Amino acid sequence: MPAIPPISPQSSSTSPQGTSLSKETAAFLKTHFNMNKVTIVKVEPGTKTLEGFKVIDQLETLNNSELLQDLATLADPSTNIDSAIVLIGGQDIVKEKLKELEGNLKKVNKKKTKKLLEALGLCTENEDVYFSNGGETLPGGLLIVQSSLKELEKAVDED
Amino acid sequence: MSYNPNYHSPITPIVNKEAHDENVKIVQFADDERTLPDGSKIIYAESDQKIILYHKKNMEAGIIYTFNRETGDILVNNKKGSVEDKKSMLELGKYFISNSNESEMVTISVKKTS
Repeated sequence: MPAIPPISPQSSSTSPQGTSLSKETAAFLKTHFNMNKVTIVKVEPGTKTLEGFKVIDQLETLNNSELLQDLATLADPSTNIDSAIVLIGGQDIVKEKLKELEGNLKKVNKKKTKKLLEALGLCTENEDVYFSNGGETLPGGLLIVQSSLKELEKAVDED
Repeated sequence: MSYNPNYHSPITPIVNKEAHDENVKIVQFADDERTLPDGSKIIYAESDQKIILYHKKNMEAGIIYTFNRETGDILVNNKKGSVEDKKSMLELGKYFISNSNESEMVTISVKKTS
């Protein structure tokens, strides 16, 4: 097994080489994958794993769904992981894909959403709710649904 | 000056120690008018305790499936459901994701303090 090349961890809050996470990327990773702390590292081509994390291969050829699936593998929400490694090259791809997804983003209609939450039994008329991400929608969400369906499927199998 | 544990400064918020934040997410089509191939609409929502699917067929009343993640029980329009209802909810969920793509979806993230 080849030796793991040296890595240069960089805090996501500083950006000596312009590699910090954008607010949108950070919000996306936090919401969809529970990644609260993301460390950006340099990695040499050919590396398969790094400190226990899988290195995503050939990001350029992946479509949105596959990219998101790989991110989900990298940080499965069910494991409650609070840190993950986003590779320098990979983050650019994530940003690029986010831009595609962001075409649909819009301001949340707060009154309408509050009514929907009440109708679904997720809050009462008197409860206050606070809209994350500055009151804007986040892109995508199918992986959230997929993850819950697995939970539901497990429950059905156990019945 | 003696310390009075019951005194709350008017500029200090009184924190209810029982209170906790609950994260709620709603996943739906960005376009409110977008329907599934059969003409129905599905909205997905989840909290820490519940997974919810709202299904609305054209000209019919909507059905709300509520799966309790802790007990494994299901409610259908707030009435106790059966294993068959769980299967129906699962099938609807699969139908939803197999007829949607990531780029036309949005997630609304809400924090609720109770």
